[in-house]
Amino acid sequence: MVQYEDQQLVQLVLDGDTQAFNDLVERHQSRAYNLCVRMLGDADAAADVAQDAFISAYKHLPSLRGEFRPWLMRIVANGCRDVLRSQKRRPSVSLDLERDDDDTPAMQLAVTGDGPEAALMKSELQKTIAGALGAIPDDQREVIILSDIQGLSYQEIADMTGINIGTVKSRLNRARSRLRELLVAAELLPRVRRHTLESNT
Amino acid sequence: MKTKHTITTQDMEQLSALLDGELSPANATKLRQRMQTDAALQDAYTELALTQDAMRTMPTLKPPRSLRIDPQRLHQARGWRWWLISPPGGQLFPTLGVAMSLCFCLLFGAVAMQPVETQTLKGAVTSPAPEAALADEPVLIAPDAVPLAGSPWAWLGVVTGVGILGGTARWSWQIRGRKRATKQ
Repeated sequence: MVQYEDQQLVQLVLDGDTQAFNDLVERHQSRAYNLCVRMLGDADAAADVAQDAFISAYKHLPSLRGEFRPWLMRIVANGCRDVLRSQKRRPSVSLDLERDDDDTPAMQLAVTGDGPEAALMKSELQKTIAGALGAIPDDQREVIILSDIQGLSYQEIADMTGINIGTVKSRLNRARSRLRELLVAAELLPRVRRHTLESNT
Repeated sequence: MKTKHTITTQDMEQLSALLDGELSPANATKLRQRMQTDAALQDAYTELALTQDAMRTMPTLKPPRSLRIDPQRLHQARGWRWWLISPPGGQLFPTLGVAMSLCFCLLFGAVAMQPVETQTLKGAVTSPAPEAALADEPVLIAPDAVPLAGSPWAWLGVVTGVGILGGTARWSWQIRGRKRATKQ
């Protein structure tokens, strides 16, 4: 099967090939969904927001200038911000994704490690991080997810969120500091440190 | 021997940037030198690195359902931008647009180019100057009766027409180019 670049697929879509757009969806759905689920903390809402973002991307595709992926992720992030704003007006949804409910996607982890203890610790760490992410302000959460989970550079984050690099730096620092405090309070950071040292030896 | 100093917000921002490899080489060297003598700075850096490691343990989650979109729904989502890049009837609308704007230009151009002397009508006005018509002399039409002739409005019409002509011609050219690219 021929593997097309994003730009080639975009061109095919503009020429009327809707299947090509679904190929783009397949390619980027994981990244888009993961940003939404970490931002919103709700699996179903995240899937809805991600899908709406794809529809919006299709609608505005003729105006696309530049690369598809950062443009799409900007639409996804805007969708998440809109939902968070409306949630603030009607606060009802919990941000604690990694709750003790076996049906949540967070529990579908591919837990790898040296044994049940490591897996348990990793699971506990992930739950704490998910809870901590819900406890930090939306703008800081967005930046730390994009940087540490999605692996984007400061420039890419600035382009995506429409803020300058200095603001990216300060938001990221505040988010990390807050997260560090929460991990230390949960006594997970020293354990992580010991674990890292052990794994290095 | 390492000493502990108070860490400022700026220090923390720099440590965070160092961790991400986003600090300039000169600043990174300076900060590393400071870390060698400042235990608090070194500890803060280690904790930040561990926090980042912890974040990276977060798994990539699979969407609960495929996010593929039904082609019918996609078709409904098309807005005016889609109409512009693929108008119904192919080249029909752009061609009509070019033709109409050309007519527009010619019409206003003809009025604008007309010499002022010829902007008169022989015998067109029967009243209130019948004697002048009888004398077979040109009757000057009242200025408000020929507002376009040689006036800035006529030239504005020409300029607008040229603009529309350029726009529609470009539109037509883009659609033609896209079709050519698709065939290749």
